[in-house]
Amino acid sequence: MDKTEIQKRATELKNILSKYRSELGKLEKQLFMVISEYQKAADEERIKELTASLMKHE
Amino acid sequence: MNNETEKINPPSLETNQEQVPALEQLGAEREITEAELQENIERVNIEVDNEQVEIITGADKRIENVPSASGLSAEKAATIYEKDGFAEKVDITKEQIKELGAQTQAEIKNLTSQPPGESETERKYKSVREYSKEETPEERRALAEKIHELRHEHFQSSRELEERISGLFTEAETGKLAAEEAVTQGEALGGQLLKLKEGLISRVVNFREIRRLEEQIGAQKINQEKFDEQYKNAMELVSNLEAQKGDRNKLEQAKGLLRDFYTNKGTEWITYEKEEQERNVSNVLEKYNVTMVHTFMPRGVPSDNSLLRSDISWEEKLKIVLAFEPTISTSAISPEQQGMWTNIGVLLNGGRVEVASPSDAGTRTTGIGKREMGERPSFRKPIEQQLQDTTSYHHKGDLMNYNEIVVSNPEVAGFFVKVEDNDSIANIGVSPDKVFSAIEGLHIPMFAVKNGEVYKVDGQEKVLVEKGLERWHETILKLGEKVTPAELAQLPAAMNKERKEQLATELMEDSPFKLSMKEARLIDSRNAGKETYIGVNFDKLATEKTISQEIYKSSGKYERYPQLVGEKITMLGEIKSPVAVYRLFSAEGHLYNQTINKKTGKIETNENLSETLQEGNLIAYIDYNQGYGYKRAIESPINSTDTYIEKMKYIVNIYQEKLIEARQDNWNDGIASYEHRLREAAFHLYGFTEEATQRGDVESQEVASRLASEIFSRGEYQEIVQRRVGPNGEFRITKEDLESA
Repeated sequence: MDKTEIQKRATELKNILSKYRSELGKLEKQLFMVISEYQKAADEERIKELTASLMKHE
Repeated sequence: MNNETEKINPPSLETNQEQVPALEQLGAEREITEAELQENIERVNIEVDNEQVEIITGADKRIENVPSASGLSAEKAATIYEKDGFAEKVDITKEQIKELGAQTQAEIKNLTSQPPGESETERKYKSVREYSKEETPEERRALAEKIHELRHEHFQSSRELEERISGLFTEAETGKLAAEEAVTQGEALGGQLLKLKEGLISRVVNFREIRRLEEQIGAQKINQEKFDEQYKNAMELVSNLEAQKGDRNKLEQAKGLLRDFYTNKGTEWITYEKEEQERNVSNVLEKYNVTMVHTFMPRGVPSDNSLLRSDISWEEKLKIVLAFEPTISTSAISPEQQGMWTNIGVLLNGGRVEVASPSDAGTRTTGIGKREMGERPSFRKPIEQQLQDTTSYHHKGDLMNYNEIVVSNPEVAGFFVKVEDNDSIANIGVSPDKVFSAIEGLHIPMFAVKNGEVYKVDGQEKVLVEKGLERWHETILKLGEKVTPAELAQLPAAMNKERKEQLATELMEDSPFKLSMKEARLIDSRNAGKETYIGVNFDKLATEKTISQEIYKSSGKYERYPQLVGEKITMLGEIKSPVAVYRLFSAEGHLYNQTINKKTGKIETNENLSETLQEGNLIAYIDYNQGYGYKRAIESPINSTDTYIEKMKYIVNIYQEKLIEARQDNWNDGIASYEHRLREAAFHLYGFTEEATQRGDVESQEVASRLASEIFSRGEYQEIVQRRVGPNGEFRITKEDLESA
């Protein structure tokens, strides 16, 4: 492989990695947003439980 | 909730500055070498895998922690997770992450293919010049002679053909030849040309024949000049195909001249021309309003109906059709007649119909380009009649039944997959992602066939399907506009002439003339395992009796550690490879690795910091064969045998899972690749074991050996080492190295 081709492929590799990480970052964010929503839903359900329990004792 | 949580913790992703330099320094003064590019490609591949795993594992952990974080019971949390759609969203995103990884790795894989236009001859020569020469055995000469013979045969036939073509015209001009006779001779010439082409194709791609010859060769070492000659001959065979196409053009030109000559003299030539027109595939598409398809069996080949190797992939078959245009069996489909042999293949829009039959004619492959068409009475009917009978017959109530039309010199318009009514891909026997990736790599158009009609494909999406307790993802295609047979006939060829030639050369490359470096890599892995033992036990070894002490010599102008020059260094270990000596030494409490190129004398020293062992990577780098090198890296802190074994188990686990997936997808290249990587891991472990044994570390020896033997038998390992490694650490080449990788 000549030097020009090597440099070209090295640049391509960098670009591929950069693009991959950018896309992966978005998907990671997407994934963790879903988990945050799930956590939030679980928290709200717990709050409901606690409120119901408190009202019973009042 | 899923398997990922059961995995060992994935490695940390802290980058090691020592690995990054080549890629990051691109654009700076320092140019990257081919070897460094290769290293970076491999490193990036590993990173792509690891990063996905880390994200998914991290996500699973957080999901698991949700109940305890909120104080909710596990059952209630699980109900919310499933019922409120979080599970589905998480699954979809995980799937997208995996696909992104697969797609990225496919793009990276493309970087390792040879660039077009480069002298392949040059590249191959470099790879054999390292090895010593001996007398060529008689059998190897036989191979060279065989190839010479094939070339000679072709040229002789080609010369005869040329003479006959020019003779034909001369005779017509001088009035010696009646039009009727000219027609007959023209047809015979066309037939002979086809036979010539078929013969050449089957020889060029007949791996088995060449391989059988190779098996007869009992050489232990190769003669470089003979190797070069054989390689050159192989490349000439490919160029002969090109020359043969030139012959065809000459024949067409001669026919054109004859047509002009005979137009006013009789009807026979016109009849002949009309029949040729009938046989033209693009005419068949327009006249009968059918689509002509050639399909591929995704898993191997039908047992008694092919001369292709039994392990040939659908992708390779596709490349053969594109590059060599061999005579193939096709089916004409339409909404009324939808039967095809399998659900993936190519759409034709050019070529010559040889025979046509309303049902499977059972033609048999006798060579890659040849099909024996038998003596069916229907094949003697005029071609127009055969085609009329074939395309008008519709297999009632049995969509699986198909007709057969044999086509020579086929022209491909594009690739297709069959889709169901809901536009989901039908069962094609291979992973749709791999198909799309391969087609993209070949740069040919993709179409869909639905209910016997052709559509463009605008995109695809994955949809989660649930049936009872089962869930899986289906690939749904976004269909574009319909393409009628008449429109298909007008499309350009899927692949241009230059690209076909390049593909033909690539296919020819994958044959006996490429050295297999697989066992070389296994031996390198073994050496890396030995070095790993030394690195992991650095503290212990540094206090033990040393191998030797010596004075550190400067590497020259680019000495990285001038403070060491003239100082005493303690040698801890030495590993020899065919072109380099790899050494580990300690100086002033630090560990260093050093590569000395035997041929050039170049010394390269790098610091294997004890911090590095604790923070990041263990690297064994062996320069091999004039710049060809590979790196075996195990990421994450390794400071004990236990950690090493844990990391190796993790790596082995990943490869075993990928192997299972590849087997499920019938992805032959993937199967071979992952099986090989597992062997590399086994060799690494055996190397570690050997070093531990030498140092009297029984405990390390036992655990490493046990894991290694679960992957690859000790007996086979020892056989390979004994066969490949000489007394001075040199790597031995054998005749098996000439078989395709």
